[in-house]
Amino acid sequence: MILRILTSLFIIYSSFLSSDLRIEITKGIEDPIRIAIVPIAWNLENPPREYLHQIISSDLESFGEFVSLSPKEMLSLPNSEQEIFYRDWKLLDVDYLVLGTASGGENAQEIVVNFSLFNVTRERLMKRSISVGSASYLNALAHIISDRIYNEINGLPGISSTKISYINQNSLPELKYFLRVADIDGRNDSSIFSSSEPLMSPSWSSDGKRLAYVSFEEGTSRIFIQEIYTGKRKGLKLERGINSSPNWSPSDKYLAAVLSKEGNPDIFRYDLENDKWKQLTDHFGIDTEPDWSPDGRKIIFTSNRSGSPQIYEMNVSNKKIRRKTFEGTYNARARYTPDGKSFVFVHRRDGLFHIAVQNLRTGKLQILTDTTLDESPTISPNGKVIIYATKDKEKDILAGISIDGKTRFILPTNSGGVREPSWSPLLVSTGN
Amino acid sequence: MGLVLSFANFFQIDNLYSLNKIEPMPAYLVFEKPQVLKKIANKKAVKKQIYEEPVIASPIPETADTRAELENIKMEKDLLLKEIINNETKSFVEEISFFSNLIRDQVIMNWKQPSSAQKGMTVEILITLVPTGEIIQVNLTKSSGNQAFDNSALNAVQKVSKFENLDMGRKLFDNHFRKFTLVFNPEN
Repeated sequence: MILRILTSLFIIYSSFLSSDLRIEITKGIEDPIRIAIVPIAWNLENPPREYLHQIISSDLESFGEFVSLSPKEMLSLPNSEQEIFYRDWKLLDVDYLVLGTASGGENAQEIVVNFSLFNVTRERLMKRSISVGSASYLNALAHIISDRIYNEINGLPGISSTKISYINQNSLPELKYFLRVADIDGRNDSSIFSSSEPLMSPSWSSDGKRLAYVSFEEGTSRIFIQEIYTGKRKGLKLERGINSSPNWSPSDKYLAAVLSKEGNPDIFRYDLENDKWKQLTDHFGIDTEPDWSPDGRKIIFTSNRSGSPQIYEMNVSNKKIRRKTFEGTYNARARYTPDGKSFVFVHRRDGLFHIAVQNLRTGKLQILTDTTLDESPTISPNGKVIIYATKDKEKDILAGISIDGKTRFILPTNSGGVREPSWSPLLVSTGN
Repeated sequence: MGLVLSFANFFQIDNLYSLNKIEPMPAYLVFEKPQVLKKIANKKAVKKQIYEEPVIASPIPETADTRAELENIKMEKDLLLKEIINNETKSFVEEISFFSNLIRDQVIMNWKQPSSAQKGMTVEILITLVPTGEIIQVNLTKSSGNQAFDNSALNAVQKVSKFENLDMGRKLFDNHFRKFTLVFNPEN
């Protein structure tokens, strides 16, 4: 604090000398952005029951960055730019306003939404956009619209259109494992594979079309790749011992995975073009849980080579390995943030397991969650939110937290235990 | 010597003060202090003035004995003047700092950083004010390269629209606050 005052004094003093005053602002208020989504006007004889504005509002509110005004609080419900009285919206302390109309498309199944985003503070139109979607599943259309709005305001891709896959275990009527894929709001949840033997470690391909996972259906662990929308699946070349922890390279040409064919688990690379394994680490300790850096040049993994599980980073081309974590005696399951500058992982402190984030350059570690048995963190493709598995009264559930630690939520999921969430990449391009 | 003179003055003035009620004007002719003249209506102020300034006000007869003394007084006066100017400059910087902080606080209250804000992004906005604090011109002089971040800074300025409590001298305003640059530079 004192340092800041001194710096600002210094800045003021130096600007006084140069007689060109510069005032530096280094932080704003923490308040969420206030947005008003006016109920979409339907130009259809039988408008659908679902309320687009509600889905858009709840999408934007899910991760704590936005607060939306309910239509009841609105002073008017404009349909066009001419009908906007900015003063009214300013009175309601609204930062942004969205208007839209929906009509039928070329075929009966299509819905076309025309929407405009206005900057209330500066009284101007920011973006006009047309989104086309299927009438049978309006949520998808709403997600796309919210992602466009999010991107325009925040300068980052929105994540409402992304999906999550996870392992679901049900013991009734019989023990069964499901590999499930759901929208990130928990809706549209469906099983894409099930087995009476354990399923583990789903991982999305970078193109968002395939999942790699471990299945014990053959009595031993084997890695499978399944196309999500066609159901086509194939097993990778099986090796003796453990076959686990598949993870796609950013190019989707390789998978990093763990094999124990040499006796103890090491990191291997699978080439999908010629179906060949190549060994990357070779150590008598256990090396496991690999993840590729966003540029594909490095792999981060967990190893107990120093005696306790710690995070290491390997340069893929020269195989040089560097230890990254030094705090505590349990650090595992690291995943890079999309900017490649940090990683999230499981960190044990005082006997409790937390989700933490660490900067790769500075080594600064920050604990994000205050629950106790947190595992398997997976990070949103825009780097803002983490979903992880945890326990709520002995039940396995999925929970989420924003990367700044301020917003928490529980993901609504299927009955039974849920584990090992994996966040999809961006599935729809919603940028400019 | 000076002390004696000042005492003499003091008593003389005290006398005049008691006469004030009847005939105030002549008393001040002796003094030749125009600012005291102005404050004639306020008796308390007059007394205070007299208490504070007898030395400066005393007309010292210029004799050989007093010449050295006068030199000394002149030197001291010069020193004092220098110090006053120094203090004024200092308070000038303090004033700039004070009003800069006022402005900073009002911008902070109206700035919502977008999620994409990152340490190292910088936006510079040149602000033009009128003396009432109203912003009459806003120029983006340096973009961060991130449109959402630029917009958030422009929004904050627009939301402020008028800086409150900028009660400052005209010279200070003209020299430093008529045009100044706001630098948005997130910490995290």
